[in-house]
Amino acid sequence: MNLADGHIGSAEGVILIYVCLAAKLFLQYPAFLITAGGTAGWQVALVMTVAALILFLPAVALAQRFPGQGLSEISRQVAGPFVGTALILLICLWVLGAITLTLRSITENFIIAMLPHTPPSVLTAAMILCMIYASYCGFESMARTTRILFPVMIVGLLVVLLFNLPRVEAGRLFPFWGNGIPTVAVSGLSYVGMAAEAVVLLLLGASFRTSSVLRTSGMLGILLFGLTAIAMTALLIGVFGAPDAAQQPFPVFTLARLVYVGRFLQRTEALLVMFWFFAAAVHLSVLFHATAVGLAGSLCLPFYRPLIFPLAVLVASLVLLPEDYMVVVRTDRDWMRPLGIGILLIPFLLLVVAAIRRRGGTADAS
Amino acid sequence: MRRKLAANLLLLLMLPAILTGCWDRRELEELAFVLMLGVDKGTQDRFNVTAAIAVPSRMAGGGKESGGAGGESPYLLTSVEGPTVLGALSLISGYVDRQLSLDHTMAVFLGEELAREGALQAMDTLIRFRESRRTTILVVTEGKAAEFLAQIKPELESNPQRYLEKISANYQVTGLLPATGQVQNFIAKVNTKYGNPVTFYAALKQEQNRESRTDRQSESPFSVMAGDLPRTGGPNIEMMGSAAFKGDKMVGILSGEETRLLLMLTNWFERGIFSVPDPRDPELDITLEIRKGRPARIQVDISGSRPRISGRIRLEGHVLSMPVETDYTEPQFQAELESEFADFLEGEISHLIQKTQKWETDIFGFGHVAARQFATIQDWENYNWPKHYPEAEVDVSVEMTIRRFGRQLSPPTSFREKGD
Amino acid sequence: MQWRQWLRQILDPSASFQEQTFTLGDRGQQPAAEEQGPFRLKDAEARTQRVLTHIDSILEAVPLGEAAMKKAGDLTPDLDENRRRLEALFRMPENKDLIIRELQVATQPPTRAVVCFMEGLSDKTIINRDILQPLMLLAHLDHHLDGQRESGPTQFTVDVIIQRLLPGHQVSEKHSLKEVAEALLMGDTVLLFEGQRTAITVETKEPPVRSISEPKSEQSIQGPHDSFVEAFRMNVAMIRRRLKDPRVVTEILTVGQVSSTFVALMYIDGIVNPKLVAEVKQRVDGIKVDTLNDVGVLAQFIEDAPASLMPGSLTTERPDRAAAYLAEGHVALIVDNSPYALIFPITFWSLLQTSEDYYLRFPFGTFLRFSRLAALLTSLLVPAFYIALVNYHQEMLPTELMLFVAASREAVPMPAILELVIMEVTFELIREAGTRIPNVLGSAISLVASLILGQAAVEARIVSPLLIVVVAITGLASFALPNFLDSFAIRMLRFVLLIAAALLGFYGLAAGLFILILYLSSMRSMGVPYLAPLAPRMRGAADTILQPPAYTMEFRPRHVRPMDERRQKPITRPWDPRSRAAEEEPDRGGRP
Repeated sequence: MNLADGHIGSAEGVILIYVCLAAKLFLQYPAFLITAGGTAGWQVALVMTVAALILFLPAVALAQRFPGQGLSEISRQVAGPFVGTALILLICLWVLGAITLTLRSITENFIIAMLPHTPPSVLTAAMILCMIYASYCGFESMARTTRILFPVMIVGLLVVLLFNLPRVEAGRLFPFWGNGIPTVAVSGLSYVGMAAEAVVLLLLGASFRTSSVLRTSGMLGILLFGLTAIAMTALLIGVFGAPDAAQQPFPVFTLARLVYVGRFLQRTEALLVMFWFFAAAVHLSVLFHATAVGLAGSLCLPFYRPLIFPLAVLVASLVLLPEDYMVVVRTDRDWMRPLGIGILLIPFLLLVVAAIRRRGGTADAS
Repeated sequence: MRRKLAANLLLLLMLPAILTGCWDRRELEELAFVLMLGVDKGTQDRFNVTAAIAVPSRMAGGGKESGGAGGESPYLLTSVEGPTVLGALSLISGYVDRQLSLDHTMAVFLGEELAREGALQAMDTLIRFRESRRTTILVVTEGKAAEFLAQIKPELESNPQRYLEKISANYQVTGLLPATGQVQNFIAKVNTKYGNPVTFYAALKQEQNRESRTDRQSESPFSVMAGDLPRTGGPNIEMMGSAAFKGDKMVGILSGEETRLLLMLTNWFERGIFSVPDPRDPELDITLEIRKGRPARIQVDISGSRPRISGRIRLEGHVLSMPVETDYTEPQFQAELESEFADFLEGEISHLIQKTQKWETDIFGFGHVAARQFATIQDWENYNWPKHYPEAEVDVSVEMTIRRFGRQLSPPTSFREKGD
Repeated sequence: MQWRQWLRQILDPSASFQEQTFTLGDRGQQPAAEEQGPFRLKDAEARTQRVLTHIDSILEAVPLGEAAMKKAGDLTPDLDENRRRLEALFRMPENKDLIIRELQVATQPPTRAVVCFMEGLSDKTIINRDILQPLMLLAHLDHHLDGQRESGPTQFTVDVIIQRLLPGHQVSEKHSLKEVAEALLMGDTVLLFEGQRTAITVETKEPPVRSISEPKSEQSIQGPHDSFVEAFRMNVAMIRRRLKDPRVVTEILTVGQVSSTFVALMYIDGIVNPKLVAEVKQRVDGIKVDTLNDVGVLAQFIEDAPASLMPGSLTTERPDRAAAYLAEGHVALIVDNSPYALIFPITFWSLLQTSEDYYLRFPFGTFLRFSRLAALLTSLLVPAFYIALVNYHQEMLPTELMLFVAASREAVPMPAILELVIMEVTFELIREAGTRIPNVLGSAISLVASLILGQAAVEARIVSPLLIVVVAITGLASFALPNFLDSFAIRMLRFVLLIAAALLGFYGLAAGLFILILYLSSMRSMGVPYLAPLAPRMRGAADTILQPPAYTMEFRPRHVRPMDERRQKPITRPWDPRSRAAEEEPDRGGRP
């Protein structure tokens, strides 16, 4: 199938990006935010959202300047064949790293939570199978699947959030400013890399109907993700208290375990695990597909399908590389997220260069 | 041809997965479910762990026959010693054929001796181990948990964990048990400066009347501690009141009445029955069902050398029995009753708070209220609330409004002619 | 005397009857090539003769112009020769189905003619009254319009016969033996005349057909009770009486060398997308097969993905359902001898819809659809859930229930997955047996079998009681699905998900579900995405799981891309003041 498959509309795009980004909230990211901000962890999330939205604007402008093209073609046009390809390879490398770390985190979390004695390679293999098949079916199919599964995932999330509201004690959110406004602001900005996966939107730019669809998907998706992050962080602080919440590798799972309504609505976390699996599968599949498409575009291949299997093997081997779970957590926090800021800046760079060299249509084409 | 070969190879590779039983698959009959766990200080080793393992055939079948009086105990009780809780439990595999599973552990009982030395030693497992749940209730038992567990024989239920489940929800009905006795609440509060945890407290019924452990001659019948309930008949165990902790070390016991006050101060109180002496005739008692009114508002004022805890608790009352001569349905008498009750409660509250100040533990979570006045966590940590708590002044007022009098207005005794 | 033969067989070694028993050609006899030779030779002979005659007739027609040349066929002017060839083609005199009757047409001078028809396929009354009678008795009564009788010899052409002598409603000329044979096989009557190269066919079809009865697999309580029959003309008629619009087109295609089955392609021109019609026609024309027996075979030839588990087309035996789909812009294929119509394109949501929903009020319709959705999810997921819960996630069961299940499972020596598979297989056996048993015994035996087997299995400690409940609920739920083919798909998918859950618990089940939904969303039925109109979301999405009120369904669903999107005026209840109040709101129909 060629690179520009798909005709994604804005509703599907928003849902796709939202699920793709929000899937990470089930992992240790809220813990990062709460460690950084203390009882003001949700403010860190707020700063992160605003910063991400602002940083994404140049990417949107870039996409509108080159309607109907993916980032690979854009960067080749703007920065020339060598530098352009190098930039795209950089992005793809980062996305691969993100996939690896997220996949490993998810596998570890499922092992910790649900299936303690299963070897991680089996769980990873199952997930990679889903990723391969999703990429094989195409971006359009992924969008449709997410559309169908979206109500299910939202119900899962809402059950966990709403049924834990009685446990929230507002007092736990004080002192209000947590670790202090400067710390909050700085950490918020440093964690903007959490939303960096939105750059895959650009890699897949050819699959969207119009560039304004891309803009809506990106902005609205990041906004919704930010709101969910704020809500979840606030809830976690309210239920667990900041010190305890900062130590949760799988906070949503622990929240789900606490759901106890009446005597019968309890112990539902195994069911909710299914819904989180969907979100995680969507997240990984979108990133994987974006890598395949981006690589194919930057190497001037007309089809991306031949790249699926080699990339899958690559991911499978990379996933087993970190020795233990703490290495994954630390690498993610100390390396991937800061690099993510750089990744978010690449479209900005390209935009500047495009403006200087006067490539592409005018910026207000839509 | 090649495709067929590849497909066959793939199928062959997948077969062992199905045959070996896939790592985590456990049949229900391979598992031994530990319903209740007891941890004591061990004699030979650090912990003495008691496990109450469910015997499903006895439990499920016993529902049809007469409850627990059928003779056989519905679970298997065994105690093992070991340096850690899980280490001790794994020794059980030496004589129990099934794999132990803590998935359905409803309650963890800690012996008082162990609790006083520090509960986290035993409890970190409950946070980290995947099988344990944070909704497990924590109970500190007077004496050894092993002895306590042996005595749990509920008569209305066929299995004990339903008994425990319902008892732990009792705070909604009578308020004599704490509302925050689960592991989740314990972990949220332990080792933070905002407050300190409480757990359930239970004891075995004592054979002879020993001297009561209340430190104050209080008129309230609920000020007895668990184990001292003046009763006959029923199971041997008594669960009432709570155990107060400082950090992870237990420092004191609260009676049922004091637990109710704790609930009122932390906004968990739903309702409870109080008997109040008639203000005009202290020999007689009026029974009131007190319910929560508007949420309690506690303020902590930290300006000044000593922090000042003030607040207002608002309650509503329904009169349940009023066999007295004075007709308290009249407004002036009603106001008298209300203020008498409020004063009584205020006295109890300040006594309770002083008790906790003596123990140097803020089990009410006033720290959270105090924290609102700080801008950042650093400032709050620098203030060090636990150091200031014991010197705090307390000024909590109670307001009680009687709403209803039941199905009768004036008490029949007030119809007596004056001079009869 | 029989025993004497047996004795002879045993005692006499040479009295073997084996060599004398009949075989078709094994045991070293020569293969078919030699036997096929004479047949092929005969066919070749007949064909050569026909070709020679064809050449002759073309040569004759050369001076008469191009039109005459086009019409030239391979019938000879010699009646006896034609008759001989016809009899050879139809393998007469062995074949007794073809009846050939000689007669003399009462023209001046009389002409010899021959009437041929197939016994059983043609209407004898019409032949007697409207063909034989006028030709034999009334041919001399030809008057001019002004009442004068013409004298002299009648100018005899086939044209005269058609125009003035044959009061049949469909009469046509045929020029070749092949066309004559086709006409005969359909049930028409063929007339051959001495000295003419043209034959006349009169429509007299009356094939044996079953009368219209109740649908066998798609019953409804409140709705029409007629169903398709095996004659495609009647089926087309049943649809036409519901869609009285001149734009309803029935194209007739023929499929199959030996069976020459008629396939009627029905659509409403002006609503349906012409690309769809063209594609379907192209696919049907491309079928080169010898027989086409049934709609199911046609579907496998035409569908996008015949190997997929989910069907890509809908077979329905209810004409009202077919008519409803036609009116939305779908295409219907009706195959002769098959009491079903094939609807293209179709989406996954047809699993949840029956035509009865629309005849009920919309809350009831919505309720029915939700219950079908629940049935779908139940029959697909419950066994997998059971295995995942009991084998992997025991912490999810409430403690009391878990202890009860553990107690009942202690008596059973088998692992949970094995008992589940045993019970499922048993259930499938019972279901299949219930279909095959003759009607009078059918339901009683299945009932008895399921009840007693279930009870006995529990007593024999083969399965636990909870499992019986699980399997029974799953089976019942799969019966609640209105579409028969889809329920097959669900039954098979259930096993796939069961294996996934048995391998990795809920994780495996989630992976299986994810892949399944991906598969569904990438599938197409005649070019339409299988999960439309919910994903990609299009107009018409409101009508899939919920059922909107009938008076609000103003637009046709967009996934078939109809040419005319609006089917109702915005205000369909003009007497209702509330709907007129809604008239002030702008029409929100724009977004795709």
